[in-house]
Amino acid sequence: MRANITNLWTASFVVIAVLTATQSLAKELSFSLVNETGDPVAMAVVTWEDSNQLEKKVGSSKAIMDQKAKAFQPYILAVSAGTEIDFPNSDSIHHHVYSFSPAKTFEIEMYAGTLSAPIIFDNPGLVVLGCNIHDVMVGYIHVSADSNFTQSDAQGLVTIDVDTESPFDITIWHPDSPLPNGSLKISSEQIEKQGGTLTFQVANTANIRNLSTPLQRRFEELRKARSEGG
Amino acid sequence: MAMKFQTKLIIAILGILLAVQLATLTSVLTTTQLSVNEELEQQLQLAGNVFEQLMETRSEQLFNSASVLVSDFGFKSAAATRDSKTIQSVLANHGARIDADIVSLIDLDGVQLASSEISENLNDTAIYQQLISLAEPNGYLITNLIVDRQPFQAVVVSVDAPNRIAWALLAFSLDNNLAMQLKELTGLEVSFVSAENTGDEFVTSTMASIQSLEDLSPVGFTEEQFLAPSIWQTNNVEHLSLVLRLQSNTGQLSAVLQRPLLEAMQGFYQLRFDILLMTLVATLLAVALAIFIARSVSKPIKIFSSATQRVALGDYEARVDLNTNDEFGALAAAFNKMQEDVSVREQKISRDAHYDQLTQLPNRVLVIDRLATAIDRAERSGSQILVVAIDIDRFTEINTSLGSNTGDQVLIALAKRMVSNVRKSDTVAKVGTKDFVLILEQLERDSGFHVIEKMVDELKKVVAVGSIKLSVGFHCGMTTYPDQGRTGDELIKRANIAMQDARANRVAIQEYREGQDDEYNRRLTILTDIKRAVENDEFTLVYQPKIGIANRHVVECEALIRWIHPEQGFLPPDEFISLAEKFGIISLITKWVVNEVIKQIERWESAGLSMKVGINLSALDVKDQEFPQYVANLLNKHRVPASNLVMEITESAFVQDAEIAKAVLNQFRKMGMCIAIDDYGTGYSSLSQIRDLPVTELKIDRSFIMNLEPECSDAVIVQSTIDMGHNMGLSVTAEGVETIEGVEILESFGCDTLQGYYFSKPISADEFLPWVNAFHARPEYQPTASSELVSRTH
Repeated sequence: MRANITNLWTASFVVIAVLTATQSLAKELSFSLVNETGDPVAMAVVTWEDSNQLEKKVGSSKAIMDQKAKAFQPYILAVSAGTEIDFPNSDSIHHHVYSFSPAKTFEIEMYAGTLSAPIIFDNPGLVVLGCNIHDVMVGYIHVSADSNFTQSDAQGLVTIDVDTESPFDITIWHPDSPLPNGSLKISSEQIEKQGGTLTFQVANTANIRNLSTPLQRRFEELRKARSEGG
Repeated sequence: MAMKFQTKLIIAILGILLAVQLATLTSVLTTTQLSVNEELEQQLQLAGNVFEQLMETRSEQLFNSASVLVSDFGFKSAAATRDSKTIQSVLANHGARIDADIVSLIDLDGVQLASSEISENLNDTAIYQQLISLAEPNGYLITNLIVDRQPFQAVVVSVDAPNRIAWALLAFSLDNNLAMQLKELTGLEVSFVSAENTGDEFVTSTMASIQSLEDLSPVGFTEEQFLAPSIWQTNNVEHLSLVLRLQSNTGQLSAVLQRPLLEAMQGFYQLRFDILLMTLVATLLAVALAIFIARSVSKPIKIFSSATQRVALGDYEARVDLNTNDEFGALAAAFNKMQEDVSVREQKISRDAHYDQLTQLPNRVLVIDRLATAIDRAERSGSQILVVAIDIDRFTEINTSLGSNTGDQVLIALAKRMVSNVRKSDTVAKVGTKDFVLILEQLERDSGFHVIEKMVDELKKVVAVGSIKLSVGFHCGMTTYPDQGRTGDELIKRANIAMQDARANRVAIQEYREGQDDEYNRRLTILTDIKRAVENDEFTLVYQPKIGIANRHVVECEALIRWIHPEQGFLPPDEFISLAEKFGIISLITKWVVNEVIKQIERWESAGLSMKVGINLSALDVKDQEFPQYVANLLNKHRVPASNLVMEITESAFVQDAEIAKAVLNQFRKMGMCIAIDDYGTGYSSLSQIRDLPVTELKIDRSFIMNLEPECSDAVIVQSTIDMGHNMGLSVTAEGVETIEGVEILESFGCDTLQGYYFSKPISADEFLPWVNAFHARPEYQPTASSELVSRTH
């Protein structure tokens, strides 16, 4: 049951931030996001306030939200407003991608391969993606109004380039965080004090995502058997 | 009235049986009832579990339906629109798909977005928030709700697109249809009782008549009812009921499962009926068996009872016919044997009672019976009967000398002879040791007399017993009916009187003479009166003095008895003394005399007169070896010397049983008494006999003295007797001295003592002392004034 799956358990992660010294005015802030078991937290969206860099990125930037192995790839995609995103289908099966999120409501009915026209996400906000025929598929597109955002890499490392030396506020968001709105607000000073590691509570989504229903597993086995046999 | 054995036995058997049956029945029924109750409760509990399972299954189904519903893309799309009208239409549309009764969409904060239910009761954010908070952990909630008193099964599920965007509530009415379905599955009456917190109840039931909680349970719900099955009245019928509390978020919801007790107990009632029926049948069988056993026991008892009564009445003929192999059969055989034995013994006893064992002749009892019968016959035919009493003479001597065995043989031989000398119709009976009675019927006196004479002749012939041959004498007394007696007793008694007469007269046959009977009766009266006379002191004693010739002094006296009978006047002493001797009661008189004499001697002694007194003893007295001691005791008692007594006996007294008489007399002599031979000269004693006895004195009988004259023959006898007595060392007394001549002759003969009317008649004790004094005062021998009274005295 889906309700059971989505509520299996919530783990606590420790975010480790590594602070790196910057040589010039252009200052670079690095830290690691680690959960409590020492695993890095990847794909967390980090946004910050930079008064000196208020220009809006508009126009023709592009991004891809692929669907591989009945999952959105990447799980979380951070873009700035106005980005055109392609929704290719790398699976051999059809998908029916939809979103009821106010930031972008759309629906790509049953398709396979690459969609001819990309979808433009021109409003900032969070868009939750789903697939009408694969309930377990969830994906997130974080649309920022400006370019002051980044995502933690696979090692949980976050690097921020700013032009100011004054402290600034940082927001860390992850859809699986049990925190309110899934986000944590923290100042750069505090991160520096923490010595490069930051704790950030995130539900262990990696495990959850890999789970499928018994029925789906059964179909998977049948498919493997057929391809091996064929 | 005492209870019959049969009844007792039946009651006993039945009592035991019923007790056992009752115990078994009680035990079985109680156990069964308990077991049935337990089973029913278990069934109900089980049904309750099934019910809960069914409810849960239904909830799961409802939940699954709801889950599928909210996963529908159209539903999600509509929900995502937040357009109230669109949402309402999709709720109505999709709710209808799964027959939901209530569909609501609630946002994540618990605010109702749309609902098919307009109830204020449900549209309450607080309630929704409560439900959502319960659904939150699992993403769903299955529960029951009460909306406007109506019970619902409700599912709250998350609407995900793909993340949760809202909550959907779908509710399904717990209505009568569901209750009916559950009833079909569980076989129980199902009622739902919903109560909102206001306390107002609503009941949905498979039983049409149930409209309210009161209809269902008059007492309402109690705590106990939730714990275990219980029994209460619904529709006035007892129901085994189980109350289940259903989980509910609004108000309280209960399900009541019920089964009519009567229906549930149907099997038990059938079982109980069967058991009761079996018990009844077993009891009836047992009663029949008890009666059969009781009969089989009491029937032989009845037979024995009636047989015993029959035997008691003297019927020994009928046998107890009971040929069974059991104890009763054995008892019957024993009873029959006993009956035969008793019969034989009774015949023997009867024969012994009526027949003489020695001769097998009829005895006294039977002869009286036969005589009575003969008299009856003779009376009718006007004929005569001769009754003959026969006595064998000197039979005692035969028995003594030859032995009783010989005596018996003699009796048998004589009995045979008697029988062979009379007709068959006549009766010969043996009525005593040696006494026979003949009854000769239809015979004239004269011819009868001849028959008897002839028979006596035959009887007198020699009887041979072994080598002994002897002849026996007979005395027969004869009476004739009706002339000499009219009753059997009379005839036999008179025949006996005649027979005694014959013996007295030493004749063979003597016929009864008229009046013989009266004389006999008189003597009998005297005899019976003697005892009374002794007790009442009717006797008196008189004393006749004896005068010593040498000094003309009164030396002794003789005590003589007198009896003035109250009715018959003066009775001659000879008569009653001889009667008393004959019937063996003379010792009564003698002892009385001894007593009186000794007392008299004592009195005289105290009056200054020492007197020797002579007492006449009979033959029987000197045969009584105890008698000397009796006398000695009396002497001691009255302090009278034995030498004051003179025991006088006649010659005949010591002729019989001389040895015993000698011993007794020797004792008297040793004690110091004198022994005198009285009436000497009349008996047959020999001098040698007298010599052997301790005799001191001879008293010459008066017959020799009364007419004594010189030169007469008596004088010679008297003289020689006196001389002989003197030669033997005896003193001699002459009795019956009546004349002066006699005195003189006796004096000349040297007689020692004189006694007689010449001196004095016997006089009373009172007169005696004065007489003695007067006599001694006279110098001459003078006849007394009373000498004219010449009466014969002893």
